[in-house]
Amino acid sequence: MPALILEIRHVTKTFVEEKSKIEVLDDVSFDVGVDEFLCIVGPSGCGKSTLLRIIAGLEKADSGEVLLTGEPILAPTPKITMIFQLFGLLPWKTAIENVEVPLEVLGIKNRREMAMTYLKMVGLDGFENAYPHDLSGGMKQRVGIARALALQPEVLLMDEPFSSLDELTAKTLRSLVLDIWKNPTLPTNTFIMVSHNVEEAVFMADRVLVMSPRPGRVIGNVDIKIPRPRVKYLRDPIYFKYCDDVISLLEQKRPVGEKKGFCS
Amino acid sequence: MRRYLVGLGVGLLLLSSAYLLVMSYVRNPEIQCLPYYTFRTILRITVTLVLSISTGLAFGILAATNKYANATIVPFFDVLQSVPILGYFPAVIMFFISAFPPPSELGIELSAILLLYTSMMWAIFFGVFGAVKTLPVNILEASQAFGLRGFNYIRHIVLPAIIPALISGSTLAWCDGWFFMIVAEYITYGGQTYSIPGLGSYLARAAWEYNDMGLAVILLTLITLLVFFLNFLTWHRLTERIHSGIFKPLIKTSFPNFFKPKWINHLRFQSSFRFHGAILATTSRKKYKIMEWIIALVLIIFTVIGLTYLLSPRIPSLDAIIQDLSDPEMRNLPMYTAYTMTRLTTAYFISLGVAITMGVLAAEHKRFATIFYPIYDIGQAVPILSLFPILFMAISKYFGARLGLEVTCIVMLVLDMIWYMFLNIMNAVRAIPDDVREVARLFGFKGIKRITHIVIPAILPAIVTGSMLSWATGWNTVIFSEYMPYGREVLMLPGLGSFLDKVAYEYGNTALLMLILALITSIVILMEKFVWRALLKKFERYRVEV
Repeated sequence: MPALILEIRHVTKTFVEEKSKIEVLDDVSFDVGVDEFLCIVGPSGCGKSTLLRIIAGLEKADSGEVLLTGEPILAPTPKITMIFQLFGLLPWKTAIENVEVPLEVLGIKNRREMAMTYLKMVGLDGFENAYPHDLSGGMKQRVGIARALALQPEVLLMDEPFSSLDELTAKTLRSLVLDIWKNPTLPTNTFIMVSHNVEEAVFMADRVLVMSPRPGRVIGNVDIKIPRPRVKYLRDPIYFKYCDDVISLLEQKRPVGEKKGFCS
Repeated sequence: MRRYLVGLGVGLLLLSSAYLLVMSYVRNPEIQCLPYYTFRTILRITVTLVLSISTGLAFGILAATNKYANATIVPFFDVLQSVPILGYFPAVIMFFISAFPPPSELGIELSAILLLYTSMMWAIFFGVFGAVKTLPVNILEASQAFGLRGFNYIRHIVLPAIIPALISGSTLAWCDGWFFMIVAEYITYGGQTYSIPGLGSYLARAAWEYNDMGLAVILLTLITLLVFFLNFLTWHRLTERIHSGIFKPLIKTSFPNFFKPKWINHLRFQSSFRFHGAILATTSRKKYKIMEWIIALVLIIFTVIGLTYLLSPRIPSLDAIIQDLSDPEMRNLPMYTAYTMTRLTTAYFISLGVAITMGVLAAEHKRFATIFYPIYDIGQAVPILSLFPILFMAISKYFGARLGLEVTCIVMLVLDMIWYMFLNIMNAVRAIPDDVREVARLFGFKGIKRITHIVIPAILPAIVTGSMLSWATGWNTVIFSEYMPYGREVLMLPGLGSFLDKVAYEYGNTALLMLILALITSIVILMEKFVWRALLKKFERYRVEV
């Protein structure tokens, strides 16, 4: 068993809107190991994104806790950062300023050079003075990745980072992310990605966590034991076997009349 | 529906008891005519609204669907819209009074309607035009694929698409009508006062002839109440209707848990937001070809010449024009311009400061937002021009007549300008997307950093749009409030506005009036072109794409 970096303990979350209560997460527990690439898949509305936001400290869990190397997370911290589905760039800042601004908040001195280094790493040198408005979706997400990496977090969260990109761009960015993950010179080596794309999850992750429809619960855990680099195995039966495993977990029907409990 | 009926009943009850109360307790020779005055004012505004809707609709659809109409009407209206309405009002009165000399009321009535019309029509025209222009491409393609042409195209595609814009444009027009009511109904011209029965003229008389501050305040409150109630009765209902209709509303107006008195807010945000949209539609479309400019220019020149010809009782010879223009006061023109600009700038920066502060507070603390919106709503329902006599009466008590007028003028300008800023900024604050807020929290923006890096840039485009609108309305107000009939004499502040009024109402000097009007219009257009549009273009990329 490798060392644990994150422990998610009995997290529950309910949103109250006007009169109705929406139960989003119901007693979710799992661990994440150091250097692990974890993917969370589940049907839409199962609370994956909420879960990610709780880990990031953006939302508070109603009960339960999230521990980062033993310390509970109560507010956003630079040790955990996030990449957004819709990029979350500030439209009034250029690419490089978008990377710099979080560093400025932390009071880092040589932020311009640092920002430049990370922009180069994601292949955006030459575009540092462009505004998000003038960048393509893929380039915007590259800025998002550079911004997250520049903080040198221990854990990188990704909220469906490729789902608003076209497939070709997504493919390129997936391998970029995998390269970053494997790069031993970077301090960031624990990745948690939320996705609803099973093939993507199996392609990228060490382990796929499957969640149930609302209220979200962990209903399965598939270790993906395909050797890397996995590009070679994209046509291999073993790849499809893992995909089928995850899909069959996702497609489990709840027994009629029973509201709680899953046989996993 | 039930809520609506209850509101209707309670409002009606409240309103009629207010009327009864006022009519039985206030001592004023005219007080018994109050219901009649109310009826006349409502009738006047309604007639004008019907006129505005029919022409605005026709021109709007025409301009949006026909290439040639687009090339001529739109730039033409764009320029006309920049002329402060109160600036050409004297010319209109000159014409109508000489056509239908008093004691016939017709001249004044017609000029009042024309004034109201020119203030009300733009919102409808640009709203309709924008809505047709921004019809989604897929709907256009589908309609072509299914062979909808001509009348069927208008009936099945265009009309349903513009209904939201039409309703919100009409709402705006309606409010504009109440705004200008007091000026339109009570006119001093050539040393004489003309008035037509109505709430506005009654309020003006209460302040200036009866010198009865109490009555003026009561009337103003009553008018505010009435505007509120009528808005609720008509526009709110219609707005709700279109929302439940099949056609998807252009703007969402559900503001969850922010607002308690929902019906008030619905309406105004919807309307002004649309208008904002219309303005933006104008912005993005504003790249005219040279040919279009020429056509528009020729049209404008013709209109101006035609108007001058119509408005002056005789055809002016060149000598007469030169003589008119050689008025000794002419050399004061640069100074007057400077004075008025100073007044406007002062008021602008005060409004800017207050509006930004409020916007930032609302962005940072939800609680402030819940306080600000109702303030905005009540403030917006007060017909600000009608506030002028009351404000002056109150302020001149402390500052004396002269300085009092100066202070009143600035206060009026601030009250007038601030709403557009406030409205636009509040909308922008509300529109800051969740992901930007989330990013701000994730990366630990706090306090001043949060304000400078997140809130201010997010509202910058809105500040520019708000500034553009507030300067436009500011010019109207300045023309009105630099010049005040005070007892037997006329009190005025040196400035372009009072000069225009004096030239028009006292000297009847058409050529000079046209010159001042052209000067003001060019200031408005130049500022728009070189300041606001440039800034807007710069900040365009700040707009968060969703």
